[in-house]
Amino acid sequence: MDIFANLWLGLQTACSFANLLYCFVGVALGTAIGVLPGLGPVATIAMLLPITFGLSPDSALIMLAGIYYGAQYGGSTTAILVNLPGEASSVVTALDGYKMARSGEAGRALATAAVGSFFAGTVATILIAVFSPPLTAMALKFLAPEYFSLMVLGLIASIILAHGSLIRALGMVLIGLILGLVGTDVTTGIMRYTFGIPELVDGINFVVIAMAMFGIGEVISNLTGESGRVLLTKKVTGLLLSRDDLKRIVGPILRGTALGSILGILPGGGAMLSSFASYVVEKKIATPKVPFGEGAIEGVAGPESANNAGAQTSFIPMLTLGIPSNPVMALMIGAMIIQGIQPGPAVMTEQPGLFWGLIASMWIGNVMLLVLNLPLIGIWVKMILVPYHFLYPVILVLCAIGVYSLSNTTMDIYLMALFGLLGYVFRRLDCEPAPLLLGMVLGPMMEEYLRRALLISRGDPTVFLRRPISATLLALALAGLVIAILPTVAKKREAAFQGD
Amino acid sequence: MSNRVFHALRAAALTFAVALSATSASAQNWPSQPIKFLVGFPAGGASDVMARLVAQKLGERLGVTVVIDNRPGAAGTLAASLAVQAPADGYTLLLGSPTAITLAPSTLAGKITYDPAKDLVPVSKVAHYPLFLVARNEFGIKSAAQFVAKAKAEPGKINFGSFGIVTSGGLAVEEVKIKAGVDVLHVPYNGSARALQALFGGEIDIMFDTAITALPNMRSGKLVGLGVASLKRSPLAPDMPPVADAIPGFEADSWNGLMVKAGTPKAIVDRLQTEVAALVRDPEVVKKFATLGAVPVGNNAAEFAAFLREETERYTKLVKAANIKVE
Repeated sequence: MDIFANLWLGLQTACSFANLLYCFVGVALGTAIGVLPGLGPVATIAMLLPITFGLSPDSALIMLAGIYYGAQYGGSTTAILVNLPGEASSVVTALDGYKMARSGEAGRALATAAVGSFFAGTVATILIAVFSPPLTAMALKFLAPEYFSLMVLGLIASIILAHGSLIRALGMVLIGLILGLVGTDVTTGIMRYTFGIPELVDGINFVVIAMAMFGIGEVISNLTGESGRVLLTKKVTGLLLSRDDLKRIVGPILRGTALGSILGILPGGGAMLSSFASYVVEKKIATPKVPFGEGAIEGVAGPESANNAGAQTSFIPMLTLGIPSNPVMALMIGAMIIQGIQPGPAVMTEQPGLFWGLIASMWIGNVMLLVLNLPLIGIWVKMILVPYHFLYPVILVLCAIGVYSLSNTTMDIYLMALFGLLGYVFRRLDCEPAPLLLGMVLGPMMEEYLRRALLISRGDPTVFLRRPISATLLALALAGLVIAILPTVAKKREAAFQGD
Repeated sequence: MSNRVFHALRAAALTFAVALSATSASAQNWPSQPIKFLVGFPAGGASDVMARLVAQKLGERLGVTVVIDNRPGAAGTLAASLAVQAPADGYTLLLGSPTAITLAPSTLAGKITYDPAKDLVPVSKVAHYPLFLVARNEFGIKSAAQFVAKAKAEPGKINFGSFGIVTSGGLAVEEVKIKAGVDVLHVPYNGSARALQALFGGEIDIMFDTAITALPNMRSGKLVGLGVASLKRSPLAPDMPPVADAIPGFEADSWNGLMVKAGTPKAIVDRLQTEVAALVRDPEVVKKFATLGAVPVGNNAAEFAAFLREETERYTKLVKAANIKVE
């Protein structure tokens, strides 16, 4: 079949000495920056872009792609070890992963993340190789009404995500929505809540709030709450996965991979939703030993697989149409242009060596990441044994550097400090930051898609119900809402019967 | 490779040096230290890649390093306000763009802290990016004239996308409405990628796009090219007739130009202008510009200044006529 000839060509390109080397450089660098909080793939690739001038096009793209998916691996490491999700996708990993780390099971959590990511990466690579064109056609069926309904489903899911009180989760979602309003409105160009500060015109960067709410808030509460504490954890057990663990994570990994692969193809913010979606699904399907939110291994396995699958399949719109689905893909397109390659549908036919070489390198890169990451777990785990008064200044400085690198402005550091304090206050009030972050990410997109859908339907709201995909998503959202409310109602009734 | 890394490291070190040194080198021995080049876009986009190429060539000609400083945000106005705050000594350059220079006075009136006409001095327009009118295949029209006819026959029915409401592309839609006397629905997106995706999916029927994404899709038959939005045919796609053939006088493009702070010694401005005019004729630059969808210009400071005045006026009228309020 054609596909095998193509993959063979790709493997030949990817397995040249230079390309193997650059693939390794990419994934190693990606892992490193993923581990450093805040320093994401966007800033790194932007900085390395000039260096790629001198490389051959295939080596350049293979290295940059390696940085991207390497960072997805590395990003979960800080989320698990010190509760610092550097990206939207690892916010969910922090929920159960960090709890596992605090009870001395960081090794198991990290191993689960690595294994899940590897499996998801492999499946997603095959998907890209075999189904790119039909998947692109499917993604293009997603227009404003579908995206709006998807975002509604995402918001409902964010409430299910919280394991505390429903009211608090709702409140946090609302605050997130309000924060998301800051910036320039896409439909009219009007500026909202910018208070004359030019740095706010493009809105508040999600990473700033994520680092503040999770990272800084955590540092403050570690330092104040339990003042006697010097170590994050006293014992570290179970570096490797047991047979029982493996049995537990198979289901979540499979489901997470499927969800992530599908959502990753949607260029309008689908990839971001994949890990959230997976967590919600696991929360409803899996039967963990430890409750979700308390350190359930299933809550790490599913989302980690989903986010890696999504990261890989988000290459599809870029490769087949030249449409970047996120800032990293936009940079990859920039790299192609530097090399004199016109990104677009012709890349596949005019540069088959490059196209298939990149795809083959993704799988090779995933193997490298697994080999690289499993032995590293032992080292990472020792890191949390470092006394906290040595660890926290490092965390704070790295956060500040990372946040500054987002758009070279000190404003983001001030914002992080401010929201860090707020994060601590929320923590004392038992309000979880995850729903807030999801509200902040989804709110602006939901509004944009809603207004665009209504603009194009000339103000007819039934458009959301007349389009089958949109209607299905809304029905799922409604079902999700019912599921979210029912247990609370049931619990209240139970409590009433117990006369407590 | 190690050489490249070395250069990157040196560039980083020099950026630091530029930031630290508070010198007042006189015009005679300019340039005697690295020059900072402010770019109001994130690294990796067409404008950034273009600026890096110019920085490299300009540095070679001046014998100093020209360091790119990406200050994205607020449609390029953040970088422009930084350029205005820097000393007028020729060691801080700005890559000007429509949104920060010609559009900002009308769309961001009262929101920007600088007056592009008073606080900045034009050096040379480096490049212009022609916009191409593209339609989706199923829309069934083959020329700009057919579009005008269809828009007149079905007022308000055509969905006309753009890569942003207050960008050159968005105002081009408003100008089409006025100049062709048609009623279309303007659907703005956040960036060209999102708009293009919507065009492929059939959410919008037609849009203006830059050559970088428009041309490959036109050539592979995924989109129909209807024309170029300049008065003359563009060297990037000589087969495309001007949209002006169907809509008389219609013109819309995007551009990037070199600017410095007002008060910079004339000798420095002149030297920069000479070097820019020469470097855009470098065959390597011409070739790389073409892959970016850019046409090299390199005009003199007076021509560039006149262009900026006309554009600012044109946009002021257009923003008023189209009733775009940014409050």
